[in-house]
Amino acid sequence: MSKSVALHAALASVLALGVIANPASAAEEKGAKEKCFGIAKKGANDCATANGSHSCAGQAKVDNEPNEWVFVTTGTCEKMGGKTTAPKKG
Amino acid sequence: MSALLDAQRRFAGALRGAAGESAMLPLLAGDDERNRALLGIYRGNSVASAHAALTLAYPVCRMLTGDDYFAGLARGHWAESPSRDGDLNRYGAGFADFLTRFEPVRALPYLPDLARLEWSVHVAMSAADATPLGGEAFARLDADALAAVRLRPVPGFALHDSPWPVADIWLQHQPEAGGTLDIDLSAAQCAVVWRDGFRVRVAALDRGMHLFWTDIAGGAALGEAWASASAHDAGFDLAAAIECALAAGWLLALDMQGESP
Repeated sequence: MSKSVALHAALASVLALGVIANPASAAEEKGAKEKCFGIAKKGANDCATANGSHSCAGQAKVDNEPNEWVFVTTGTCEKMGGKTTAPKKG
Repeated sequence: MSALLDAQRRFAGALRGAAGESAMLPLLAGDDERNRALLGIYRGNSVASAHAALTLAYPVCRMLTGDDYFAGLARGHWAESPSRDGDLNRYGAGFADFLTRFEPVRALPYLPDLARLEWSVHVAMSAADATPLGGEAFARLDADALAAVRLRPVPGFALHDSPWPVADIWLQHQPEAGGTLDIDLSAAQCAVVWRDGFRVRVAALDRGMHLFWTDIAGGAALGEAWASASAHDAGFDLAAAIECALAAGWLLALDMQGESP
């Protein structure tokens, strides 16, 4: 099959889709689809003042700059197979 | 330099690190030791805000590393790139690049790509509202017009191509996933991100679909995008791609040839 024949077959299959060839019934179906009204994600600018005595984030502690951070993973990466090496590209 | 700019720069320097305090102290009334402690509180708030912003944007990275490790990453990123925007929702765009350069993260080589995916999720969450295109927009077209059509994706639509199974990692760390992990870390994966109502969705895409939608998002005509996807994957199914996009609400507009986009 030549490229243009293949393309036209693909295009015809798109135009034959129910949602395109018969959009009225598809629209009805869409209306019936439940809309997700979840709770919007918390914003990063939200203030969280527990006692009102400090600025945003309610942090009262002095930052004493730990220079050395021991990076020890305690999360789910171990469950996924822990440490791993660079992937084989290809 | 104006006195105000000079004072602001000294104050910013004191926020960046204790080494910057000395330059700020002459501008402050009262006891130096007490003022050092007070600047430390400002600095603590600054780090805490950056940490809170990154925690909201990168929840899965945090689950993977654990809280203390993530706090160290947040501090490291903040030290390198503090917020330059009044809106903390925009803070953290460069986190993935920071992770790529950060030595301890080499042991978790999928983390930078996962962070890239999470940033797309974060951006999609606050993307503009849009009414996705319905199938009727295609109904007036014939095959030739369809081949020349350019499709514009909805705001927040993003594609990813990773040597790591980033979609599986993200999906299996969502609250509804149940906590058991079944992830093949040797599997490369393409992923798509879009907003559906108040939820951001992530799904794995096969390579043909990824190539097709990358071309479409880059402004290629539908026929051109079909050709490159088909060249890679002879079984690429154009009708399935369009049906999927219409059902998921990926498409914002359809531009005909000659129309300005």
